Amino acid sequence: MKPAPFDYAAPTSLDEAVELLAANEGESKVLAGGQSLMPLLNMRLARPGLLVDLARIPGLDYVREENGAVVIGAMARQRALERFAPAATLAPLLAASLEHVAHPQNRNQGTVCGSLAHADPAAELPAVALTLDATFRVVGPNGSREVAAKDFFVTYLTTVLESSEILAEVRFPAQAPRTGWAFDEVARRHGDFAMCGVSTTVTLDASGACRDARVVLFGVGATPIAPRAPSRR
Amino acid sequence: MIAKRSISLTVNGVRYEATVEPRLTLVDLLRNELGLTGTHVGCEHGVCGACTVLISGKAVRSCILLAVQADGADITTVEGLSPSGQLHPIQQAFQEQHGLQCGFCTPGFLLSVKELLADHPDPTDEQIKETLGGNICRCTGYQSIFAAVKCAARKLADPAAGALATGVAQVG
Amino acid sequence: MAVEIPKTIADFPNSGSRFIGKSVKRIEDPQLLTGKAEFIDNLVLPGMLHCAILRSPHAHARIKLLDASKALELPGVLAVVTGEDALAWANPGYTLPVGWGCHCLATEKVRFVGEPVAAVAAVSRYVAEDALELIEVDYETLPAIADPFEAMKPGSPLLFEEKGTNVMLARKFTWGEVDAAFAAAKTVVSEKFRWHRLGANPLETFGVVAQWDTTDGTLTCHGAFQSQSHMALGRAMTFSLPSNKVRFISHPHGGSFGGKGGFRGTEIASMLSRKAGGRPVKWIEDRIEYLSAGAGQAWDRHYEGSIALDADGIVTGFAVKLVDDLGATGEAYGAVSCAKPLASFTGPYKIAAASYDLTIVGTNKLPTGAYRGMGPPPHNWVLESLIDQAARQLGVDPGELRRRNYIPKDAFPYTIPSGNEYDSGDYVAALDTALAMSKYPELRAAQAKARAAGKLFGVSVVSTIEPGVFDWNAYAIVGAESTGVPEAVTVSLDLLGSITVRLGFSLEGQGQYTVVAQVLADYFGTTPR
Repeated sequence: MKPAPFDYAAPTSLDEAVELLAANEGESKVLAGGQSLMPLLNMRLARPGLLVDLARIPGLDYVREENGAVVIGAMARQRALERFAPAATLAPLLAASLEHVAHPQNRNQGTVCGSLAHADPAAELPAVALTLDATFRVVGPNGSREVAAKDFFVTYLTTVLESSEILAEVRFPAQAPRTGWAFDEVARRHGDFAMCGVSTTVTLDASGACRDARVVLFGVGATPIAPRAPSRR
Repeated sequence: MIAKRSISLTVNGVRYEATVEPRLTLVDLLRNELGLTGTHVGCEHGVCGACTVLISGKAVRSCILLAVQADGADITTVEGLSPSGQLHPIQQAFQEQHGLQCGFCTPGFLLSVKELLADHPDPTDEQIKETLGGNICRCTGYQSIFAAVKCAARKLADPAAGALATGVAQVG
Repeated sequence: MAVEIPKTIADFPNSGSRFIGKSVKRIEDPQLLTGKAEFIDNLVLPGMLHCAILRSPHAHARIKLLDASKALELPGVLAVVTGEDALAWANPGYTLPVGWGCHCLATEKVRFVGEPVAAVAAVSRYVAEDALELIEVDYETLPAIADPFEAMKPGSPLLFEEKGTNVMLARKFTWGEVDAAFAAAKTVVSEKFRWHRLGANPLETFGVVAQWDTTDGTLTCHGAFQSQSHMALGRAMTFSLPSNKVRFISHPHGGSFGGKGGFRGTEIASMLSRKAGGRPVKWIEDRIEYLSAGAGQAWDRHYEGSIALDADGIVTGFAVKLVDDLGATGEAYGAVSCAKPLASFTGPYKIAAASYDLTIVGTNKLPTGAYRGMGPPPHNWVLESLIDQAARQLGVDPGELRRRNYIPKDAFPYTIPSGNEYDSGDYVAALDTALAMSKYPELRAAQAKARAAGKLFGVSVVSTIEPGVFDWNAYAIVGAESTGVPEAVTVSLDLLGSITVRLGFSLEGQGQYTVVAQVLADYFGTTPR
């Protein structure tokens, strides 16, 4: 279980990273924390010619609050989000889901954006992104674009990211007031990939009537699945 | 032919320079190039935790980290826990509480626990379980490892109290 | 000077045991806790090469073409071995049942997924794995069989065509008047049981460093061997080497559970060393290799069991029919685990008549091995389940039915129908102690209450005899010409008064060295250090 040969680049700016990806189109792969990519490399299931490591680019490891949203840079570790106290009030569903993401030892290294871009259908964060209407900021040769979570995940391990694009940031809007939420999954062992899981929110209006209800299932299809909004009885 | 990269890193306070293939994993660097074989390889895909080391005090899987990613890193391995040969309080606690059988997983556990107790000197049961969940032991079951973590916390807080609390007879 | 080996602590020359039975700190722990114990992957020898093994992706296929020339051209590759080398240098591995095996590298066909077909020795494991990708193999797939009952049918695809059958062994043992016991029974309980294949999964996989001294024809292997004497004799047979030219050195194990195995890997690494001019070759089984083709899978069993009881609820007969799905060959000695239950066939019970109808069948699955204590648990499960069913049928408490059937304490030494002698026991006292400790009547009351409330609440009473590891004849029953495993202990005292023990086993995690130190300390009246 040793990786096949690949080349490695550690650019110091996003522009440089995009240039490297574009110059090696189809052969290159972005490396962030590597917690999903490295097992695939070790098993020789992934065979990139070039790994472009984002870790040496300054200023990508932020987790911050912006206008009530939790905003997370490409190299922010999952553990950094876990320790970002405002997340528990702004987006408690997101905060609560993290303890299901592998183990602390993986979250110390794994990034939030990396997990989203990897798009494992059994992963937790893509489901939460879909539930909370996260927005993805993608940078590429043609500049920057924003993608809504509902448009981001295409199929197994595949997103709308082009091979020379990088997920630079994800923005989780604050959960609306009077929103209840739940997150649960079934795994063989806590921290294992979920066999199936669910992420859900219910938002009430001032009168107590249900204004919005969401159920996102993961581990049961090629991407997280948001069945049509439950209809009112 | 892919060019090798020069990296430098600090392991257990010692600075090393190495020239490595980009694909070399950190655990293979530590074990095969630096001769630090206390870090073990169990699954090579980030699941079992046998290869756990600390980078800047944080526990990570060294089998799913490239050596080139660790360029400039400050690493602690099991060899760094007891440089003088005197067992670290966490190691003492594992021995006293029978927190190991074959010992293959143990270095990884010790480092995970070291991070836990640095962050939470008096950890809750849930915090201990969450940490231990990241390391697989196939021999002992986890109860005695759990007890060892509690014992280690006591020892680190007050070495004398920790020793008293174990209740295990000394030989000789 | 001849020394009588004491059978019990009471026979020790020094009275007053001080360490046996005491809670002591394990003497092996400091090495393990500091990462200094020399697990096999830590061993580095000068000039050492690294082996990677190419394995079959098919359950059953004929090898039409195997071309390793490109692999040999890769810089850093020093040797490649294939089935041709195995044919030239090795015999088929010794198997149980005898004669149901093949060479360590496939020669004509593959019989299970993961079967080795070629191997490379290179300057690193990375390069060795690169080289595997350059080996070209052309397979013609053959129909595969995964079900032992299908495998027994006429016309089934055959694992070994020359045998004309997939039945590796069929033996029926009858002890006492079994038919008469069933004919006269007041109650007969019969059931079918399926025990699915399972596996060990030690955190450390198998590993070996083999060095074939091509000058004097000596083979030295360091490895995570579970029984190194057995492994050494077996490799002497495989390579037609004098047994005194084969030296096996076992290293501490990162868990074993019967799953270390390593026969093929050891032979492959040895041949690579020979081919690379005698340079040492390390093979470390990786996790994928272990899970798909390692040695710890076992007990793929289909049982039919019956017990006969008289009017007093005394079990008078026990009949077991076992179809054991051994997998593709007898190389991993899973067959021994079918024989091992004979050591305690009737458990703790005084059952006068018993029979064992044993059929061992080959299928295109990984050969089963010596998992954990090697066999009794599924057999015990069959017997205990039948006793439970009888208790339900008769309306007798399952603890009480067992008590009635235990070998009474004044009957020891007691010879069970399958021939083994139990030396001592007081099973009623053991049961009473266990029931008292578990507050059995209260458990039953709680169960009744829970069930009345519609809840599931299980209480189980189980009693089994664990016969220890290597018993007297389990090997011979499935055809071995030898018995057990030749291990020995040597104790020596040097001029400075230190005691040295040489053991036939290495650290596996159960504190064996500590136990040895405790025993010797008490024997010699000294203190372990």
